[in-house]
Amino acid sequence: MLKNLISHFKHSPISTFVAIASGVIVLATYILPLESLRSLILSWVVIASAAALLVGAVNLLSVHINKLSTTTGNSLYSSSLIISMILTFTVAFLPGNVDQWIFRYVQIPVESSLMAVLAVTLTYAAARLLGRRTDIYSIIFVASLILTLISSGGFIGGGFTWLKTMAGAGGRGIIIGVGLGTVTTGLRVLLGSDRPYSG
Amino acid sequence: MDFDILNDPEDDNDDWLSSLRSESEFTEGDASGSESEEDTPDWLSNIREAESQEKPISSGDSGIDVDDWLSNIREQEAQSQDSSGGDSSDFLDRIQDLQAKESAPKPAGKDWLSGLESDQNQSEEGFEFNFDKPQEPGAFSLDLGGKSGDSEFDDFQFQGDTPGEGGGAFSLNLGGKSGEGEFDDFQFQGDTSGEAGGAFSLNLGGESGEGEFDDFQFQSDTPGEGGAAFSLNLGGDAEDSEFDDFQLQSESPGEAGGAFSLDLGGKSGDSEFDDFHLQSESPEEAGGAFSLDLGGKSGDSEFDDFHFQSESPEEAGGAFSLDLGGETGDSEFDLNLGSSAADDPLADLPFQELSSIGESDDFSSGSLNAADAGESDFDFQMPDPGEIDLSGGGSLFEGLDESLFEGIGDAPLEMDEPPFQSEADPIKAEDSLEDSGWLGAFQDDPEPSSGGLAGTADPFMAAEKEPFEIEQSLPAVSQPVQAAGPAPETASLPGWLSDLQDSAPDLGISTDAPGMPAVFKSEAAPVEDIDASAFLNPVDLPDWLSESGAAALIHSEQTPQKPDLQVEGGDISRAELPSWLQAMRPTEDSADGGIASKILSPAKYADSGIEETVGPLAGLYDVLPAEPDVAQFGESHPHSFGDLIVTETQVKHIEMLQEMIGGEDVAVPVQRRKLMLPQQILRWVITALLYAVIFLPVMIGSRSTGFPAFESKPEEVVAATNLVNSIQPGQPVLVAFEYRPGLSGELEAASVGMIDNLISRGANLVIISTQPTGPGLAENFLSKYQSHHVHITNKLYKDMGYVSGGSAALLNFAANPRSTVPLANVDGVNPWDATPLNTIQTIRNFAMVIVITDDSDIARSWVEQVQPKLVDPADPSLNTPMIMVISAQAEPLVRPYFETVPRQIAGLISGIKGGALYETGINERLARDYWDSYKVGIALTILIIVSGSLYYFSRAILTRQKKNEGTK
Repeated sequence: MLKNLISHFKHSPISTFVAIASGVIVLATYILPLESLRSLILSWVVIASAAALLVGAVNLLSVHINKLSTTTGNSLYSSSLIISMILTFTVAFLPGNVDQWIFRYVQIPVESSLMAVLAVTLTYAAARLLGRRTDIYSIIFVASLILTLISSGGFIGGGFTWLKTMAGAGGRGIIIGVGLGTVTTGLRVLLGSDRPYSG
Repeated sequence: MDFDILNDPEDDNDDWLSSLRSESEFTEGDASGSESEEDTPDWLSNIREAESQEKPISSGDSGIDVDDWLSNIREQEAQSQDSSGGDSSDFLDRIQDLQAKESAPKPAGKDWLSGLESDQNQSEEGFEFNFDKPQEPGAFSLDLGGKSGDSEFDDFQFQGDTPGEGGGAFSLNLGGKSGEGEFDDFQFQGDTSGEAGGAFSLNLGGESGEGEFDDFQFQSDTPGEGGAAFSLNLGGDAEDSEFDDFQLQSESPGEAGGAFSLDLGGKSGDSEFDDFHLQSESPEEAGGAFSLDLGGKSGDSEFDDFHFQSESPEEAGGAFSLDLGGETGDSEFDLNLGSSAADDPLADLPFQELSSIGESDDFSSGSLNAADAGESDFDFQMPDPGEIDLSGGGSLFEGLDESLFEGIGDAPLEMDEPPFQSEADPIKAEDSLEDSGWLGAFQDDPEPSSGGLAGTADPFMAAEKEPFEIEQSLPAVSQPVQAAGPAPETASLPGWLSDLQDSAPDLGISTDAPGMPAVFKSEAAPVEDIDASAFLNPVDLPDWLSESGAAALIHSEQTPQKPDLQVEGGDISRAELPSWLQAMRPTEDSADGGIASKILSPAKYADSGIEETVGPLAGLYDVLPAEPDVAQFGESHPHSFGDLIVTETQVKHIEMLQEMIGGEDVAVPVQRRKLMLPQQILRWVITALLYAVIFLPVMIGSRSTGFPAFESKPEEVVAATNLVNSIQPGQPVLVAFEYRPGLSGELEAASVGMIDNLISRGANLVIISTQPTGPGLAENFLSKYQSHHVHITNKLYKDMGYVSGGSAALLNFAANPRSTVPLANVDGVNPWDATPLNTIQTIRNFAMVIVITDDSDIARSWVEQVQPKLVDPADPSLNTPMIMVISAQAEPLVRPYFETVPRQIAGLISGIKGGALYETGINERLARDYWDSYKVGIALTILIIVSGSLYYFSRAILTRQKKNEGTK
């Protein structure tokens, strides 16, 4: 019943009206002297984001619990996740810095190790790139990769400044494109053409 | 059956009767006639006389040559009138009653089993077993008797709901070797599996010996959609078993078209199948196989009153097989559709003989085996199933049914229920059926489909030596009327009748198609001789008969075909239109409008001039309008027997295929691709080299590699250095930890020197983060790398924690930091009112903002949302600088913010190299420790990439050259 209710409101015109109205009001606060209203709305966003984060965590937990109860195959990962979540949540309420200990000696090393493996994998893939795809673009890519690594390695002092300038130019173009896309997306949401909240 | 046309409540059907009476001044008992008596045909006068004298009209009365079937009907009608006590003269009221009962909610379908108790009664007499099968799919098995010897299963009643959706198998074994077991009044009703279509198996008797199956009734709804097989074995080696009043009604699988198999008798020996009734709806759409084996080696089996009604597969054209007799010896298949043949009033009717199929004709699909018939007599009649359509609106036919049903049986039977399902005593119903004879066949049909009576496909085989004796059926229907022009042999046929015949559907049998049994073909045959005296009291006459007798005989088929009956051993002569029928033909141009028009034209329609446009009466005026549902003279469903014969092996294959498909919803784990051994070795070698090169200098604390000289510091690093060096003691500095734990190694190395420099200069750090892991990373960084500072150990910095909302949170914080981050009181003091936050009212009150991030989007958000707030609108030169410590991967997208004019980012430190450059000349910390590993690792990576690229590139070139040489 709750799912039906949520689905109903997701697809109802009320959600669209709320989304458009909110965007227009916040946009208007930049034009009109309504900073207090904008701060009020933004404070609501802060609270709603925190709630969404909590809902996401609960949903993740429920999904894996359902997976444990229905899946007949390997459910080791789901069970590990559930145990980790419950354990970390419980530890946070304990006195002391036990949660910090988990963060320092579990989470940081695990994520750092994944990034380290990524470095090795990328090196291996770059070495075999020309074997898989022998064309001009692959050659250009490998060449630029090598130049970037040389520049980053500090093997040459200021000789590759022009390379940074070229990279910066490319970056500018990307940022401009991102900015234009952000404006377009915002207009689509304000006009109701795009409804990412409808699901 | 739909009798709406005869029972239209809106129509005052009695008007024509009233007019008839008024015109003729005919009253009950008054046989003197009326002013128009002269115009009254003799047959009508005789009928009136007979009715007034309460004397049934029979053949020989008043010299009227009334057919036996009609006289029987009259007798039965009189009986029913006496018993019913209603207005017997108004058959329309009876029709209304009948329709009312039809439309009445049907009983639960198991009324005859309603007396079953849930508990099992183990007594032999009145044995009751009520079993509600669980809804979950599962097999059901019931074995009664085993070797029952002389067991008796009197009044055996079984009611079971087999699995529904799951479609488990159903098996019921009664008797086993029953010896002389008796299954009197055996009733079985079971709903087999529904959707999934489990198999259904019922074995009665086994080696029943002299078992008796009196009043055996079986009703089962075989699986529907799933189309599982249906199997019913009665008798087995029945020997002298008797199957009196055997009735079987089964709806074989529907959509899926499971196989249907019925084996009666096996080696029946001298078995008797008296009043054998079989009604089955074979698979429809899917066209499952249908098999019926009667007798096998029946010896002297007798199949008296054998009734068979089946709707063979339609669309899919499943196989149909009917084996009667096999080696029948002296079997007799007296398919008496009514009373005994001797009294059969229809015996003398010149029905069209059915062609003989011959000895060994077999249906191609739809097999009718009459091989080795011996001296078997096959007196049967089977109109073409596709011709007769009771439900579709064969008004003539329906009318005939109605009139013939009157007075038959003790009570009007439900037209849509099998006899043994009616509330009435099944036996009585059966008796009524016996009395009604061939009429009972239509009562057996619960839901006549479009095939309607077409389903009454009694399989027939032509007698080898004698022509068919077409016994009673629906005589009018059995006599197709050819309305298209006068029949070649009936020159005296009135034109109107000929016209009607042209538009009439085809009935009868034709042997034109090779291999096609005559019984499944239809040919039109005109009704030529229909004795007028056979008609009853005009009050009781159905519409078809009263309006135009011959027209009423016309079938719903609209495709006229000339009859081409060729019966082996003789021809069936066409029926000649009796004079009274000819006289009844309503003629528009006649002075008196014809007797029929006078009699039949109700006052209501007298001046309407409504022309009938559909049906056999098309073109006539002032006729009763046909109801839409009755007037739908649609095409009969083609009975496609096809060429497909499904064997048992194929059925097994189908089951196997279904099992294979059923497992499609089970997810199959994807097998991982395995690498070749050389590739695996290369991967491990690269990993080992990189790990060795990176870990070794850190472990030994090496600082031997070259370090960039101070003058080679890039501009962004120099700017950052200068800004940090300009911080005064006690000034609040906002530090945002916005990186992920995975890249903490690089960013900690890049930022440790700057933060250390800030703390050394006396800056008050204020920590904030918009990432959930930010506060944890900040605590880890400060405690791990800055713990030598008192400012850190004494917790003199302020951690504002995690601020949710992303860009919105940054904008809100930049606009109003106090409201965005409400802090709880510490020791009764609001942190915003204590050092270092007591001077912070806006974000510009911070001396500097440092953002440590690995994501270019986060860096861009800080620049877009926060940096504008750092500029004093009153004095643009007074702005709070923003410094970013970023990962090397984000530098290309963040550098433009530094290179803009005016700069949005005052200083930029990128990666380990930037950190190392920052630390140069100030305080060499973590970045310097990692520099050797970083530099050597970069060098090794470059070497691996270059060497690998050169190797694989050359190999690819050589391979391509070899291919080119090979193709050449």
